[in-house]
Amino acid sequence: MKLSEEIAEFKCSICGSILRISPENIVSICEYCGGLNIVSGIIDCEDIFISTSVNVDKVLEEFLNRVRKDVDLKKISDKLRIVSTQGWYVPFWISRVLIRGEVVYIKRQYRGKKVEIIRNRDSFSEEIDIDIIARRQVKNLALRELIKTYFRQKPQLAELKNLAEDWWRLNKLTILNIEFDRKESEISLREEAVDSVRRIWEDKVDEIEFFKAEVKKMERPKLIFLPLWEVVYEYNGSFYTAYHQGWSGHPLIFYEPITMSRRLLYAIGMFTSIILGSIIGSALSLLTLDSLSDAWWIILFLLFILALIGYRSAKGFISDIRVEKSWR
Amino acid sequence: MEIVCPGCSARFQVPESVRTFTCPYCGLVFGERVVEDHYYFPVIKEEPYTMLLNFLRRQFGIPSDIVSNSTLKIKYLYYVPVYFYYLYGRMIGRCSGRGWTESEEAAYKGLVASRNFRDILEDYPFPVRGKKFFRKEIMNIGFYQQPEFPEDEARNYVKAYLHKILEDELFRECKNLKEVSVEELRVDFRGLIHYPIYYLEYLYDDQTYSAYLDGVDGKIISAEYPIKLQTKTLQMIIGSLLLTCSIVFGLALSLIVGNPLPFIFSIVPAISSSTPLLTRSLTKKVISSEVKIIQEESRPFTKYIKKFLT
Repeated sequence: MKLSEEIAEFKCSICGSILRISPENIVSICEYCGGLNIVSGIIDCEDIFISTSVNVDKVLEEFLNRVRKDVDLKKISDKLRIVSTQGWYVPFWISRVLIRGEVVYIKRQYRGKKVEIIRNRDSFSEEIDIDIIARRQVKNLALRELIKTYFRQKPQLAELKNLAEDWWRLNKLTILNIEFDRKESEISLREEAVDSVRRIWEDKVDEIEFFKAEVKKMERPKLIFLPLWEVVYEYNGSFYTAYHQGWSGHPLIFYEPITMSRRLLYAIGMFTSIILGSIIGSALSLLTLDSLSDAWWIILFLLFILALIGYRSAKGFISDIRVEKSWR
Repeated sequence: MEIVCPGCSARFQVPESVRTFTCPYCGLVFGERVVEDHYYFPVIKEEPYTMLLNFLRRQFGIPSDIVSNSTLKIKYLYYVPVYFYYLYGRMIGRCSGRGWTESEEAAYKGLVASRNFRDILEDYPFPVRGKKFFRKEIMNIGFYQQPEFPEDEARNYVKAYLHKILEDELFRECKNLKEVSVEELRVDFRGLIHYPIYYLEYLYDDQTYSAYLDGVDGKIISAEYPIKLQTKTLQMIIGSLLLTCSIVFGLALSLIVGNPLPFIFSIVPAISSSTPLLTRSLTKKVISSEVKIIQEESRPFTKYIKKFLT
């Protein structure tokens, strides 16, 4: 077979030993001489920033703290068994973007029986933090929470090129390779910035008649690696997962078993939605017909909320797992 | 095709799609530095049927003897081919009386090249890690599927998909578009991935139930299972009780105040809460999915409330 001119043999650049690599590695540490080898091929060291991570003991300590404090888990804490704990660095491209544009929208104002349609034209100028996961078709809930927490807490990051050799020997986490290079990330970040501003407007107004946005300024995208830990635990023969961010070890997402008391709460939720509905319905019927027709959209909203409480409680009652976000 | 390892000079066969190789003899990884390649995901070491049973036993109302009294009937491992593309497109449109606007999309898209698995793996959230360079050994594991259609056919499909999402986005920006023109439509092939999926069938109480498992992390993509008669009865009782309560309370209050609102306000939440319970009771084989839970959780319902309030 004939290969192209640029052949890469993944051998250590220092001692020439064979490196154990996979497409997921961005760096490989030689098993023989401990030398650092960048094996990604599509990334410049200058763009990479990394957050330090706590060790496995700290993650487990945080996990057990969370179990002890959680209303449901503390009741079953003696029956939980930790199955595995592993961590890895997840790559994200981030940037700050200045976006300007204009929007023509329709907003409906409900005044009594009349619906007033207001058409507005607005200009906007927003500066927003934008991120994308530098991996293909990954929709992991924990990753979204990880990057959200990063923007909230802004932990200190170190430049990859400035990390001491010791750091690589002590760091046991795999640093996942990226699948978007910088050029592609710029396009995706720009596009995501426009989409996110449009989503904000879509959430605010009833209908968009015209929308135009342009990225006016964009910081050079930074590739950041954030540590994520996964703790798998067992309860009653079934496995559940918890995710922790690595810079302080705090939990992000907990998949929890549904206890009997929780199921009872869901049952109470279903009945409460009906009782609450009857009370609200009775209270509303004390209003005059005129004021009722003035507030028909409030009636619809209340009905929607009650139906939602009932439905979510019923789904919770029959489900097998509960997801708790604890990044706050 | 046959290649020669530059490390140990061993000769071995690999498919044409592979550009980076792992020598089965000395472990050297070599090849072209390319963005497109042929990868695979290795399968879990754990027994998939045990993983399925672990998942099943936490399901609400499943018979307590599901582990001891069910038997594995079929276990197939499929290596499903998925083409991966990088898509970039730009479309502009003239909005009646308002000037020009544009839509832009940059995304990765996986296209399942197997008709049997398209529904299961389309838009599937692949694991965040674990991919490896292709090894010829996986062709001998389970049912290794060759892509059912060539790459150029897949490319046309993805191109049409990109056109559609650009058009949809443009229409979200302007309802009254007069002229539409495609500025750029780029579809870059980024490799082929062979993804392991387990298909299992098990017997319980003379009934056959099926399940699909993600072969990489053991996640249950979908699993059928029975539920106990007692649970069905409990769900029916609660569901009926919810409806009865709402009818009795709602009607009574409506008669007292002389207005239908109390009845309407109690029957609507009663219907929405009893429907999942009654549906589950009347279903012969209940289906559950771990993947669906994750997808549902990433769509917060609070945004609809916020919109209503603004």
